[in-house]
This record gives sequence, structure tokens and C-alpha cells, in this order.
Amino acid sequence: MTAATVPARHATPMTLHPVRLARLVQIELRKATDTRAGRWLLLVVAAIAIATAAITAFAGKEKGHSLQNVLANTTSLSTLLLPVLGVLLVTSEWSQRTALTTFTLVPRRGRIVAAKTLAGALLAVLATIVCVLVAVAATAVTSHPDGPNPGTWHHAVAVVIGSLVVQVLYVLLGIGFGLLFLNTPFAIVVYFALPTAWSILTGSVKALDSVGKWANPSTAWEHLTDESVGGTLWLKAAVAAAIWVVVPLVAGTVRVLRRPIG
Amino acid sequence: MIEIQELTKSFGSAGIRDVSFTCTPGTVTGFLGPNGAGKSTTMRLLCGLNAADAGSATIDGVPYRRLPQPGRRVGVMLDPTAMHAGRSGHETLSLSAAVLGVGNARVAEVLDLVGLDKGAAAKRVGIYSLGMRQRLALGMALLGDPGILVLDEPANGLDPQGIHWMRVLLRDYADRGGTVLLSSHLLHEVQAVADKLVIINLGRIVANGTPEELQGTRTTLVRSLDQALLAAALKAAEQPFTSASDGSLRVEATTEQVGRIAASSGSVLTELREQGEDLEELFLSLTANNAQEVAA
Repeated sequence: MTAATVPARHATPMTLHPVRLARLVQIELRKATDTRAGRWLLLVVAAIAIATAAITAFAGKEKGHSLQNVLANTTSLSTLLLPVLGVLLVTSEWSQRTALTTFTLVPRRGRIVAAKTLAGALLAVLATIVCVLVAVAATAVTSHPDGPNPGTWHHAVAVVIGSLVVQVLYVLLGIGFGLLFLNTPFAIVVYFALPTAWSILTGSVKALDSVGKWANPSTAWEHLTDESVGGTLWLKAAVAAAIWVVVPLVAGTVRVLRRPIG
Repeated sequence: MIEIQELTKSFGSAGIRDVSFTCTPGTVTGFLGPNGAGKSTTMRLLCGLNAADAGSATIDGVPYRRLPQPGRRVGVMLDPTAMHAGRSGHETLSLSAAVLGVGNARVAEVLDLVGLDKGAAAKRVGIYSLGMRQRLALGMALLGDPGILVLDEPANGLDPQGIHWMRVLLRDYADRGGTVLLSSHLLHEVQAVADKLVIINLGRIVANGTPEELQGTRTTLVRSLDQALLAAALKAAEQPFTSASDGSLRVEATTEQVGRIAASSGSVLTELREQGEDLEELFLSLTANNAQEVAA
């Protein structure tokens, strides 16, 4: 502290390049895991996946086991938590007020939004890998001793891909809500309350019933993990994704690009 | 080089209007004004965190948002409390270092420079005192080894030793060719280090210049054993003067001129000194209407 001198370098090269997106993604992943809150959330997602896989496999009826139903249960709880993870990836910058530093160092705000979106998608992929590994292990261990039930591994690839798509959609939904509201409790409450309110509304008004089913993410996306996803189901899922993922992401990004920071 | 030209941003009735000033390499510019005068607004507009209604602000001729790696050109410290409470000081700097593309060696160097030892750097920022956050935030600004520093109220929360330390650091930085813009609501915090003062009040620049320029016409204060004799001599020499209530005379002339007149008249001087307008008084008078505005 006595020798308070700043080294007279200032020899900053004029040919500086913007930070590469891959590095920003890496930094966003580090931010998601370098605090206690972030680490616990990820550990809880993993722990819940393991616990639900084990419970489904061991406590369920032995005959009914298939990768499809074990994986569906394994991912069902992580699809509840992944939107929260997505929300926090964005809103923690505002609740902890680190947005000031983040956007001072990277003033092209769209790059930060892109990096967060990609980091969230990567975490969803990682969560899916954990779920799939756990579900495969649980299914294999508990399959019938006389050889697997013929349905056990049916459509395994389709089921895994469907789960992956759903998990990624849920984390992107969280990021979209986070960008739109920039407030952790508000974004989370709206995310949990809105689909319910939507189904109550559309359920009570007959004319809206079919619209309700199309536009509700949980009903529209649940069939993506079914063995044979037909054209209409994909269309339904795409409509729900447009409403719940694309619209919040786009509107939220516009908001973050325009809004004063700090 | 920081160039701010006619920068304007309104927030209802508040905001800033036609703010213009320049900060050149090798100088420390003190940006002074009462709380709420528009210092932070100006700095945030300069750093692209908010968009101006009119006017421009550039860093070496380029708007901040268009700098490819702004942290390597401008070190910014706007709010030392805006840090993640759950990260350690070291991790906070390391994250920024990763964005800036400077290595971990630079993180250690900067922690040493701002006086945060290994123990302090390993602790979570949540338990830091304001002074420690201030040091960490300054470290963050210095991390990319920039040629320009933009610091909002850097002395806030520092003890007298800390303020002295920062003064030495910033003086040294400017003397090595760096450009410093630092804001404060307290004149004495910046007076000792600033080469130039820019005073803002109610969103408008009310004074801009070196401390000497701002002090304006200098007069000589003189006191002698026989003031009537001295007054007569000054009158005879056709030197305009005023008598102050404390019995001293204020003459619009240099100390030498007054000394010569006194000597020729045989006056015995007890006090003879140059006197500029008191900066403190100037600052208070320029920013006085602010208090009325708040009260109204």
C-alpha cells in the first residue's frame, strides 16, 4: 500500500478485438456456478433427478418400467427448476447489481444476452445428460431378471431427443421471463402462475378450450417425450414455444438493449 | 482523451443539459457538484449505460459503446456497492480479467496495488466494508491497464489515509500520462489532486477551469500598525482598495506593488499576502440554489 504506483504501461494495443462469444459463454457458465446459490441450485437439480429416477425404478410396478416412463419422471422435476435457473441467469445481474460491471465491460448488450442464452441451453443439455444417465442406469438395474421387458428400451433415441428439446425449451423460457421482468421473484411467480391462470381461464370458457391446450407449455410439450410424436403434436409444441419462449426472449432482449443500466 | 459535447438527457424536470468539457492526458479533472447535480448521469452517459437525448461523449474520438474492448481503454468505477455479495474479491476481479483477456497474474498485481491482501481477497464481497469495496472497485477499473480512468465518488467510504493513498495513486497515474475524471460532492477531496475543476449544478456546468482560473482576480490583503497612514499612501498612489470589517485593506495590486507603496510611506506591515477568491466560497455560491431547489 505504501508503494501506490500504477505501472506506466498504458501500452494498450490499438488492434483490440471484441471478446469472442465462446469466451462470454464460458464466463456466463462460471458466473452460474461460482456462488453458493448457483452451485446449490445445480446440485439440487442433479440430486432430484437421481432421487426421482431411483424412486420410479424401485418403487414403481416392475412390469411397467421403460426408459420412457423413468426418464419422464426424472425430467419432470428438473423441468420445474430449469426455468428458475434460466430466470436467475439473467435476473441475478439486476438483483446483485452486477449488470453495471457486465455491461460496462461488454457494452454490446446483445452479446451478453446471446452468451446467457447459450450458457443456459448448455446447462439444460448437461441436466438432460445427467437425467438420461440416471434413468438408463435405473431402468437397467431394475429391468426384469429374465431379460428386459420388450417395451423397456422402445424408442429410446426419440425419447431422449424429446427430453432434451423440452429441457432446453424450459431453460430458454426462464431466460425469456428473466429478460422480460429483470426481477427474480416477479419472473418466477409469473412463470408459475401464468400457465395455471391460463388453463383455468381457457378451461372455464368452452370456446377457448382448444386454444388453451395449444398454448399451454406443460400440455403442449409433454408429448414431445412420447414414443411417436406426430405432426400435430410438434406443431402444438412449436406454437407453445413461440408464445412462451420466442416472444419473451425477443421482447426481453429489446427491453435489455434499451433500458438504462444501473 | 474524454470529450463531452452538449450532452443532454432529461428525466422529467431533472437530468443534464448541454454538458461540455474535455479531459486531456496527463491531467486529473475533478467533477464537482452537490448530490443529484448530474455527475453520475453524465458519467453513465459517457460509459454507454444510458442513451443521451442529444450531444455526444467520446473516448479518444470513439463513442464508448463502439470501443471493441472498453475495459482496456477506460477503467470505470461507478458504484462500488454494485458487486455480487456471494463472490470473493478475487473471483470478482478474475471474472472481469477473463472478459478483458488479462491473466491471473494481473489480478494478483492489482490486488496488491489497491492494498487488498490474500486474506481479504479470499473473503466474500458481502462482508466487505465500503472502503474495501471502494478499493476492489478501483482495482477493477485498473485491471485492464487503461489509459483513462472514470471514477464516480472514489473517495466515498475511505478513511483519511485511504483518501491520501488514492490521491497519490491518481496523481502518479496522471503524471505518467493517464487521463483521470473523478467526481465528488466535496471540494476538499479533489482540490488537492485536480488540475482542472468542472462544477455542475442542477444539470448544467456552472464553472470549468484550473483552480487558479476559478479563483479569478487576485487581490492583496494588507495590515499595518497605522492603517490610516497606509490608506493615505495608497490613495496618493491612486491604487484602488477597500477596507474590510476586520480592519485589513484589500488592494487590487500585487503584493510587490503594495509593499513598495508601504515602504515609501514608512508604514510598518504586520501582514501582506495574496488572496484569491476562496474556492470553497465559490463552490458554495455556485451551487447554493440547489438547496433552495430541494426545499421548494
